[in-house]
Amino acid sequence: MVHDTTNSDLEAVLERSFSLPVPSLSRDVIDRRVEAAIARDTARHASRGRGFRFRIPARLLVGVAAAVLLTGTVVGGGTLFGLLVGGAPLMENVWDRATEINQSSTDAGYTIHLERAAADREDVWVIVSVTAASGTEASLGRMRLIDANGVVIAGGTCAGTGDVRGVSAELCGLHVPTGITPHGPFTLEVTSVTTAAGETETPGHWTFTFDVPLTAPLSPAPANATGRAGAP
Amino acid sequence: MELTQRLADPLDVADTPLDDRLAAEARTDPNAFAPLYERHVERVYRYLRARGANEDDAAELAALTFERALKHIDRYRPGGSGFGPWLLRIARNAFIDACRRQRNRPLGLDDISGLTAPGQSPEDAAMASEERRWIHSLVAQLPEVQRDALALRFAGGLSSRAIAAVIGKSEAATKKLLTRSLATLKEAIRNGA
Repeated sequence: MVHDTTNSDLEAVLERSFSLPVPSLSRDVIDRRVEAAIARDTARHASRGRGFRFRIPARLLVGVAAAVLLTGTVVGGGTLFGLLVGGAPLMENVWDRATEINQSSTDAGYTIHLERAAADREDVWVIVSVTAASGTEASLGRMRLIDANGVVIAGGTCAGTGDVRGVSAELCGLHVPTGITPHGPFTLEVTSVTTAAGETETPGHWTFTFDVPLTAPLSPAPANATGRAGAP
Repeated sequence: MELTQRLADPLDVADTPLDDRLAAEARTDPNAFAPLYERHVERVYRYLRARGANEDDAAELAALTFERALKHIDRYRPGGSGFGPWLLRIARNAFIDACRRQRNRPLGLDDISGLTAPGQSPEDAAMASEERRWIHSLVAQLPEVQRDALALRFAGGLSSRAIAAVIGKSEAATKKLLTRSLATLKEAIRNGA
């Protein structure tokens, strides 16, 4: 071990120490996610201009769902993945069962359109699209939801996209705290949007008030491999 | 599409013309993104691990990085600092966002000492493991900005100029930052010796 070291010794040690191999399970997870993203993008390119509501073919959605299920199985159980994507329903499923809201709010050069929303006992789901006056693509950044009883549901995460009337829309979920049943009307407060591949965060205030009935659970059941088999 | 197809050395940071050509193709043919992914996935994963993401979080954030890169491939500007630094900037932002979202459960460095490189003998693996544990414990004590610079340099394989583009500092300031980081690390080694 290098205790009396020159810069080159130290740099060599750092290079060796940071040259971690990508474990095969992790590599599989990343491969499948990227493969699904490329397939989605390929399908979008192929169908551009046809005016479909959702431009992802059903067979690809099945593939994406399989990838999500697989990756959730591998890295689920309280990881960041679980918070971001794991257990999220497909947008198409939420769209069909969601209530049309159709509200827009504009600030800081960005218009957020709340297309639809749905709620079950565990999550409130919103489908939103973001358009910029400059024409750049953007996504929701920070947001929170307040229910009729003043319960604040913070830290919404967005997972899954689809095209709605030619605009790329996102499905974002806000997880309801344990033991709470959400009650509408809800107030969705968005306080930033991100642009340029997440490189820029633009603050602003976009607020929506809406009410939706509680539906049957929208999220898929957790995979057995998360260790919850047999648990309520 | 075959993601296992391998092209050049994935850590060849100097081959930006090939990256630029593939990125240009990927704008109209998303399948051209596959070789770009192959060339850079290890670099992105290593950077995220060096920043302190555990194995699962690093995989998730690496996947997110490439998803975002593909989605916004038209924003990549050929001829700039390069595709690798552009990707690492996305990875860095994803990591920072994840840390913000996880305020109550900061991403923590997990035990990386057991990882071995392919073909290592048990003895070599044990020594590498010990060295890795030791150096990571020292790096973990450095200020955030220094840890980031070292991760970009030694895990991401970036030059000072490229690191400057990623972290938004001048090249001169970045060189000073790296020098300071190494000096602090050496000092910690001396004190611990």
